[in-house]
Amino acid sequence: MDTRNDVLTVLDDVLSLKGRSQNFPDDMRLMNGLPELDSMAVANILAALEERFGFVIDDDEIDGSTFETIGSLVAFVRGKLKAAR
Amino acid sequence: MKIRQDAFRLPVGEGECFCLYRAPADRAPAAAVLHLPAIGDEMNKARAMTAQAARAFAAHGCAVLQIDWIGCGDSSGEHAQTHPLLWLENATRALEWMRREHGDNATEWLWCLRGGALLAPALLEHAAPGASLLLWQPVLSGAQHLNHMLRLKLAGTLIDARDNRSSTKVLRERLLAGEMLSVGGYEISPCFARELEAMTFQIPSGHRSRVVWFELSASAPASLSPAAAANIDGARAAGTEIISCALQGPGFWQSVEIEHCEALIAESIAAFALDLTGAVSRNAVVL
Repeated sequence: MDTRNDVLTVLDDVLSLKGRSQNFPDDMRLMNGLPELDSMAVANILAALEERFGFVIDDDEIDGSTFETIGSLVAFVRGKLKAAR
Repeated sequence: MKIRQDAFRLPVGEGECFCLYRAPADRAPAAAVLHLPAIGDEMNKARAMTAQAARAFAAHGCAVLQIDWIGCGDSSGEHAQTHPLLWLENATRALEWMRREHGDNATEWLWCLRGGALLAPALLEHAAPGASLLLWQPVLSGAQHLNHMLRLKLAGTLIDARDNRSSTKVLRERLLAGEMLSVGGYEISPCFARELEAMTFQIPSGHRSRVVWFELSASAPASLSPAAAANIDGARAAGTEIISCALQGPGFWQSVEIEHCEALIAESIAAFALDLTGAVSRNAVVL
């Protein structure tokens, strides 16, 4: 399972990026970098990640740093998957 | 093919459900399809797409019943009083209505969109044993779905400093302690929350009717989500045959603008057609 690719797919679907996310580097800034990412989008991305991967994200687990960059978001998801195993 | 279209109110236990029925006008349908709609705002956003699909299914020989649950859409009652166990009763009345209309000749299908799939296991167990399943991006966990609804209420505070924010956990506790909550314009009762939270979707062990499972993704190439793939693998290992496919298309149940996915409708019709061919050959044997 290519977790990074799955995360990019979720971003693309929720933010209607039309494939743009496939070229995002790991250090690409999300919060304050991607104009599409408002607070409602954050809620929808969390929901889509939960559905796609089948885990539950507690609100206490996330803060501004989770959505800092592509790399930080992918690392967060990898951590969740590891914990679920 | 000429289509008959009726809008009517179906009497159920606690009021009347608004129903839309479409079927071939000049012949008996080979499949009787009950739509189990998405929950809350997703149902409203998906309305244009499901109406288009229902017309297309009817034009290909299926009878299709769309129903608004009590307290939802155009049915009687308030959202504050609605809850999933009530929807199961509504669905049971709808299935009975379809059987009176068609007898037992038509293959029964439950056409589930998103959270509608959470009702399917109980219906397969009691009201619709042997029904086939058409699944459109099914929600697998009611608890997760409830969490999503609550999270939208908190959207503005999710990434604030930890000290001054609420959490879905707090909202859930308030609900379960007996408080009504308004989420995105929908009043949610403790009863609604408790029942939704307890529901999960999985294909009952020993299910032998057709299962067709579609997911949509805006990006190409589309792939099934790991969560769906795991669920499907489990059911296959238990002996159920499943057609599964990820299609490229918009998430029409959540998009701000009205969206359609023609490929999803076409692939669904192809899935029905497999069954229709079977129905024709069964009839041929009888004749």
